[in-house]
Amino acid sequence: MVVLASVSCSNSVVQAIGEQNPDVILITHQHGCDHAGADRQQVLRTLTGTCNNPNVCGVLLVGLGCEGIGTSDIAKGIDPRGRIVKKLEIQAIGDIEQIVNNANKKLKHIKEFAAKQKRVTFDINELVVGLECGASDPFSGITANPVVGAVSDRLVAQGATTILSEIPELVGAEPILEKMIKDRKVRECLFEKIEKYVEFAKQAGNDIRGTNPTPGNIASGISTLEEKSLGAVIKGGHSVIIDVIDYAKVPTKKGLNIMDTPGNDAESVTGMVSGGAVVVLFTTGLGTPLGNPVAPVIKISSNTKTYNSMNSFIDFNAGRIQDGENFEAVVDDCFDLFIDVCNGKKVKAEENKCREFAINRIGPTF
Amino acid sequence: MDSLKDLSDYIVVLEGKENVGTSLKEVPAGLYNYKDSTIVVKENMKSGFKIALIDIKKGEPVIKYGFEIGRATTNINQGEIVHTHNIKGAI
Repeated sequence: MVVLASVSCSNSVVQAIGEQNPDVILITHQHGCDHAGADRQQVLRTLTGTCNNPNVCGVLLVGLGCEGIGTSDIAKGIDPRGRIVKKLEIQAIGDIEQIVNNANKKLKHIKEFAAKQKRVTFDINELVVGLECGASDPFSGITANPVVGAVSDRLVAQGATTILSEIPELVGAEPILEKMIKDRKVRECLFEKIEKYVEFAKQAGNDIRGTNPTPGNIASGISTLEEKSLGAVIKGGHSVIIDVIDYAKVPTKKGLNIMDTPGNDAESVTGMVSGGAVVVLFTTGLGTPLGNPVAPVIKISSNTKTYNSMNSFIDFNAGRIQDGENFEAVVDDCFDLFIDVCNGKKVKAEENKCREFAINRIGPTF
Repeated sequence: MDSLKDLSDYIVVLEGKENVGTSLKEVPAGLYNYKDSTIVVKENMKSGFKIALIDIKKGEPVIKYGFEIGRATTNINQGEIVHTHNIKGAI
């Protein structure tokens, strides 16, 4: 059950509603007005996509009234099947007490609807799963990412959809990615998106291709740019890359997809969940609390030291491989945890109410 | 005679998919058991570095996790470290 601000001007009102309704999930953000063109479409798509995530059964949209992306714009794009959507406009009601009362009434309906939901069994092939790495260390590419890749391969083999992201991390991996893509159009689309980030970086004075691997990478054993990027690519395992999709778009083909997201963790995870990812597998070397408001983010540490020191935030330790455990056995356990989470087990990010939400912007705010 | 340590305890290799193993911890130089045979680790290795599991000829691909990460720029012997001095990427 979600209370979503359609625009940043609604944020404090959303917080006030949340104080009287601790059992709902609040989503506030920095956007919703003064966007144009493809950037506006992307912001709208991300907000709508969040509401359309299968994990969401009820939404109260809180709008100001005059914003560029209004509650009606968002509501129009929300699939009403299995979902209840309510709206309120701050300017239409005016008084803060009346606004909160109005919200409470609407949330009561949403909660009654939510209480009637029953758990049903469905097949793994219905799942869409996000793959992410953040706060990486030299072991991320050696332990945790290959484990996630193996889990992704198992899911894809059973008909599910997984989403690899973070395009800037794929720079240099083109020779590797080429072999994973059968469709020429998909390959061209991906390489275009990679080149776009190389150009952005150049404009900002940063030559990604020329300065990688960095001296720090080389000192920790990375020998070529492909190898560095392989550390990221391996999260997708060895499955064929079936499609490349825009930020916050819902995959149309089952299998391993690549979504155009930046390396920024909050924006990347938000994009994949808005595209329908119901669970995210997130590897980390140094540890990060990052979660998402509407999807469980399973944290997988690359090493035992971080698993222990950041245990409040980490669900699984792939550092067991470094400690000598068999790779396949660790993959088995990770897969089992993944299934448990799908069946309702809460992850640390949920227990800690880590609900980071960030929209990737592709244009200026006016 | 002390029994030999097993190199599998020190490196990660995806079965049948590569000609280098990546060290998970420091690997002191010396003789190790590996699969049905032995390997001589030619020099001390830090963690995160690669060791040739078989001889790799100049120009041949270096395969890690099932993907080619570059080509050997010189003949590499089994047990040698594979790094910037003997491998080059495509870029």
